[in-house]
Amino acid sequence: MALWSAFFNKLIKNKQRKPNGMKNGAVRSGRADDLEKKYLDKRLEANIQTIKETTGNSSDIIIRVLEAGKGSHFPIQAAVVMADGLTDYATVSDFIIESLLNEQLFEDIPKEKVLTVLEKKILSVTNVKVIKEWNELFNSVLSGETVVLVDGTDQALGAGTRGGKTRNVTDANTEVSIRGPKESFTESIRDNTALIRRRICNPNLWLESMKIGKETKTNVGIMYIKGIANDDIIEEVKTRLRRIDTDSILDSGIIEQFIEDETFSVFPTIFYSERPDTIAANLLEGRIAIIIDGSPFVLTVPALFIEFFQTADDYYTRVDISNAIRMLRILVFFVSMIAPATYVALTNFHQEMVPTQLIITIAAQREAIPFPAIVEAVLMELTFEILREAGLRLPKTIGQAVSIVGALVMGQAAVQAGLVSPMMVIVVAVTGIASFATPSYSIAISARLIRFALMIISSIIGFYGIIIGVMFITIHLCSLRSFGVPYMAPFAPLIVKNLGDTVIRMPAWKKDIRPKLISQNNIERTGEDQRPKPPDKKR
Amino acid sequence: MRKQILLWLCLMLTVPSLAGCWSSRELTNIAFVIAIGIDKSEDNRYLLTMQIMNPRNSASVQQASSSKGSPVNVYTGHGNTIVEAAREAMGHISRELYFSHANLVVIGEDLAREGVLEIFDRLERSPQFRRTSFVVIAKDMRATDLLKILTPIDQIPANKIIKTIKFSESLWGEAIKKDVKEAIDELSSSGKQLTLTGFSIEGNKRNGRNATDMEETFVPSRIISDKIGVFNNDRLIDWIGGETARGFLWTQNRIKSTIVNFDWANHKEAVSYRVVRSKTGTKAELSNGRPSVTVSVKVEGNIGETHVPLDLWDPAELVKLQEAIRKEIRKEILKSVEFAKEKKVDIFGFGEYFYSDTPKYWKKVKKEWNQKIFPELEVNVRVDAYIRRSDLRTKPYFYRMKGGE
Amino acid sequence: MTVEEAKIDRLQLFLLILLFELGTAIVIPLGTDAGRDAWLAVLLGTLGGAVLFFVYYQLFLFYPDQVFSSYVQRIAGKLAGGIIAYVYILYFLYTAARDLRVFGEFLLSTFYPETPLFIINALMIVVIMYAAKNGIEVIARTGALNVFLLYLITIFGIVLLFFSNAIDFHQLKPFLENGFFPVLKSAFTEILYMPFGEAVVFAFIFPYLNRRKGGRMIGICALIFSGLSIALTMAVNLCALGMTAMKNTPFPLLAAIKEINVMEFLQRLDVIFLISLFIGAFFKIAIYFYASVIAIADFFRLDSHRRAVYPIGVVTLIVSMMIASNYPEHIRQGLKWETLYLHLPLQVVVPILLLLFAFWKNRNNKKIRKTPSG
Repeated sequence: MALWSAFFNKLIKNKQRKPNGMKNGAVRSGRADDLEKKYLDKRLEANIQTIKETTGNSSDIIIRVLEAGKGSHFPIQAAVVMADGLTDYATVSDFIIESLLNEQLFEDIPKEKVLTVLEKKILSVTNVKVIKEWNELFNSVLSGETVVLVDGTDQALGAGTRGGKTRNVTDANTEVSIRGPKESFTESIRDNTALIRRRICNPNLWLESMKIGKETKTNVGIMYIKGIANDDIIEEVKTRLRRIDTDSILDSGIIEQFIEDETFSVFPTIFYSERPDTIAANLLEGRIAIIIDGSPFVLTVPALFIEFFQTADDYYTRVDISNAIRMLRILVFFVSMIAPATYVALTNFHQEMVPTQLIITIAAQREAIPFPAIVEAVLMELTFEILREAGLRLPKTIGQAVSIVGALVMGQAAVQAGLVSPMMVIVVAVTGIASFATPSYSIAISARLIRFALMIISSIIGFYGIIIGVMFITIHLCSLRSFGVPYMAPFAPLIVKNLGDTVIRMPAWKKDIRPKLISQNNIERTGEDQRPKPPDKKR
Repeated sequence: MRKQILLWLCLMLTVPSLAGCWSSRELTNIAFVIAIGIDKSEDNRYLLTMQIMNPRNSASVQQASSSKGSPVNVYTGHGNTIVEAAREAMGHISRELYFSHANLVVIGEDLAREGVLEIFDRLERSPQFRRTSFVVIAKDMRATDLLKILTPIDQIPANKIIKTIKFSESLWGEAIKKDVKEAIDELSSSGKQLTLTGFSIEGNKRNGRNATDMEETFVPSRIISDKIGVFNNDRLIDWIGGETARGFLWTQNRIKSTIVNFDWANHKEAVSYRVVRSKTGTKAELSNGRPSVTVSVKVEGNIGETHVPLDLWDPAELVKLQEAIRKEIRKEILKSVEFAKEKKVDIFGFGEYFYSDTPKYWKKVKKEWNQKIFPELEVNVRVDAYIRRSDLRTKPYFYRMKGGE
Repeated sequence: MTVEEAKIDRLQLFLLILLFELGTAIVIPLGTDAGRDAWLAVLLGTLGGAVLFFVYYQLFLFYPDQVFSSYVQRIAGKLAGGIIAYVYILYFLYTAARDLRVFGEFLLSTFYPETPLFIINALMIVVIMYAAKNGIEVIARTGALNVFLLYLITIFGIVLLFFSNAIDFHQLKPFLENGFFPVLKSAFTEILYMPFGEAVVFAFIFPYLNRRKGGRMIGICALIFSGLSIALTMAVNLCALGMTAMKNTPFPLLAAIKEINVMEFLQRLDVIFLISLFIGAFFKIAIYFYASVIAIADFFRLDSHRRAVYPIGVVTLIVSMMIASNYPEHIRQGLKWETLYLHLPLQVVVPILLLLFAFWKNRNNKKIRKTPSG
């Protein structure tokens, strides 16, 4: 017994993490974090020298030294620091450098007040802030602002000149919509917040920013509609984000992994989308959006299981069609999860369930196959997954074709070679197509994983195994919470009032109530008697 | 937390090694039994015949090498009980017998005459075997011989028997469809006696086992449904056919459509009445301790064919025709009642009606029902026949020629 | 204090009670003494069950924040109360193991004759342990999801039976063939205890209700609804099977499902029935299991019920294998021995006595007298 526990302990010993990468006696790395100085120097040369040293003379950090002003104590030395490519050239040259070189503006300014006057009267840009610390200066320069240094002052000015090339607002390519807006988010956080603001013209739409990631200092923003979003959840989100202590945040996916409730659950508890209208709709239900600079995917929390089956199109198309398709989607999700397992269970354990003629046909096909059914199933499924992965890397035009058609063609070839039975090819094709029909990618991959587990257990104990597996998953789903909200709401706990937007969707004019557990002001969203009718008077 | 996961992982990895995949059956290791036949063998044991589907030859898919062999194969086993006989057959078959798709039970006539009470126990108890399978008797032959015959149109001979019995019951009325559930209910009830349809082979009994025999236009041996067997308790005592059988079926509310010929204008069986709908109700009554049963039949139909001149456009004529039909159907029913009374078997289930409606009386007379009370039972038959139309002709084309006005 | 920090709302309680009562009652033959009129016996038993439920709920109202094993000690004194609480722990464990055994036997008789009973029971217990570990909230939520599936399947089955022409209403006659007495006897010696008296287990779950108002009504409605469902199912079984078959089969509902035959295509649908049986059995065993875990955690003052889950799970599994060496023995134990020695005292006598004591003890306590209505 002691041996066992010693063995176990050794296997899972937690390694101690060393603090912050700095070993004792290390040379100062010259990084911005560990500058000896904190505040700027009064002398311009010293400041410029520090900048050059810290950035290692990076060729895209441009320091333009100029002489500003004309007058009694002018010209004074000034420098303009900016990062090439991150700023808007026109603004910098036309408004900042131009202003600084314009001698007339500088007359009659006392030396001590140069910076204040510059800030308040001369620099004609939209936002200007005063910088005292080196940290702020580098943050400023590296986020695209232009920093103006003046000799003799230990403060600097950071002017808002963000620009540079980012991707244009284009069509969403992962969430295509037939009817509905086609804009999608880009990698620039400002563009994204603008897209959302454009849709919700409400002063209660608040945006809070923070910088996360020690090395990357990525700009992360939280948006929510004050008064509708639940205050506790807002606090929780902020707490979790502030807790993040890592060096890089490159995409919203990384943030997701840091703040989600359960890392090892197959099911996602945070929703993401590329479309501004989806995010705006979520905000209006009381959710909180997390926007990350550099990622076109915006996260919303809390997320519910049923959200992953809803698309934006559902709300814009007609009620009957969208309801039917939504129910189809849920059905399809289950099919993609249990289809191969059911096939294995039926042909190995419960042959009585299959109509006689069909089971004879399958038996005839299987006569020639050397493998047992479960091996065949796993083989075909793995092949399909490999093909699917391969299809992702290929250029768009042939990528889609390779996935499905390739699988079928390969399946046909395998059938003729006597490796698999035609029935198996059909089952795998149906499963594959079913998994493509699931709208949200993150849920589709959960189904893919579960499918294999169910296949294994169904080969051991048949349908009972599938039932046990599905029950397990159900219990797991019911135990998940997303930021405190039960994952399976409004099914469990059953909130009848919110059921109008889950499997079926009520028409837009029906009295609509915000989700009870997510928002805090359950104001009814639609007014009275909104049902459309033709006018009483006939023409 | 990690310890738990590791522990679970170790536990779960041991499971597949334990798993002999206990109840798993590979499709290629199963023999699908589609019909079973039960006979008495020479040494007083059971001879169990199993008609097994041959997947290669009966599958729908186009196989690369489609050599058309026989779609079914027959195996037999001996044993003192049915379940023993089935296992004994394992020596002949390379696969495990699987009865879930079996939907026909054939009982040989010899065994039927000796008594069928015991054989239904296994059929009922087995988790595989279905109670919805049909039961028939092999008439004048052994079940094993019946099951060895192939059929031309239906690939699987068992299906032919099943379909024949279904259509025959509802469209002709001289066969009765019984499944295991109904057979058991009737065997265990004292208010109704068992009846089963008989099937026999017309033509050469030995030919017809070969697939090549099926290639002829008029195959040498054909399976036909032939008479209904009547049981007393669990022994087969007699067969009824023709009008007696049909009369019996009228009372059971099983006829959907049939042809009733009746005499007209001194011509025997001259006009055919096509029954389209029929409904029978039975009512049991007890008045002053005297039991009586009223059978009411209501039929609707058309005049299908006539060999005598009839003016079918005349409603008055139709009324007379209806009366003739009534008489004919009543005759058929009474014929079957007489037969049953004579043999002292209540095949109609009148006793059951007394049981449901007058349970106290039934309790008293249960034991003597078949022997004493039923033969004296007053049976009233009421028939309402309606002629609705006469297909596409009003008067036959030979109306004038045969003497009509 | 409740052992777990959880809250369930009244709708969830309703669904839990419903699932629990339906549990194994629709599967095993109930009320066989009453023959054809078993469905009538069930309806009568429902009324009796409602009365018993009233007793349990009233006890709860006296001590709203405590689990049964705690307040029994307060009513009857530490020693006697402790013994009673302990007996209840054993009772729940035993019943959980019994129901597990019934479920396992069912699977073995029908679908998996070669598989060892141990494996089937073990798989079931593993899932139940997982559910119990997650707590009553998760069990309630899972229940909400599953109850719809259960009813869907049952209605589907009944509709298909109609389409297969398997239903013969004449089987319901003769009505009251042997008089009213067998019906009464069956109702009050058998059905009252199983399944309706088993609601005593909810004495451990009431403390988790988030709002007490209307709780009694909800519970009684759930009982009545489940009673109606069971009666309906039995009537349908009878109509589909006939008296002889129904008397002799250990699983009437399955036999009825076997009769389904629509258009020669939808036949042999037994496996679909397996799903509904699983759901019923799962919730019954899970609630018993959870109640015993909570009782143990409360009685021994454990800090979390989670610690007790694994050991109790293993114990339940082993007990389920050991209690009977074959199925008929198991059933006979249930019908003859258990009713007199277990169900009658623990479901009826002890709660009523406790209630009387509680009334007397709290007769001066006006605050509790004015209990919320409903």
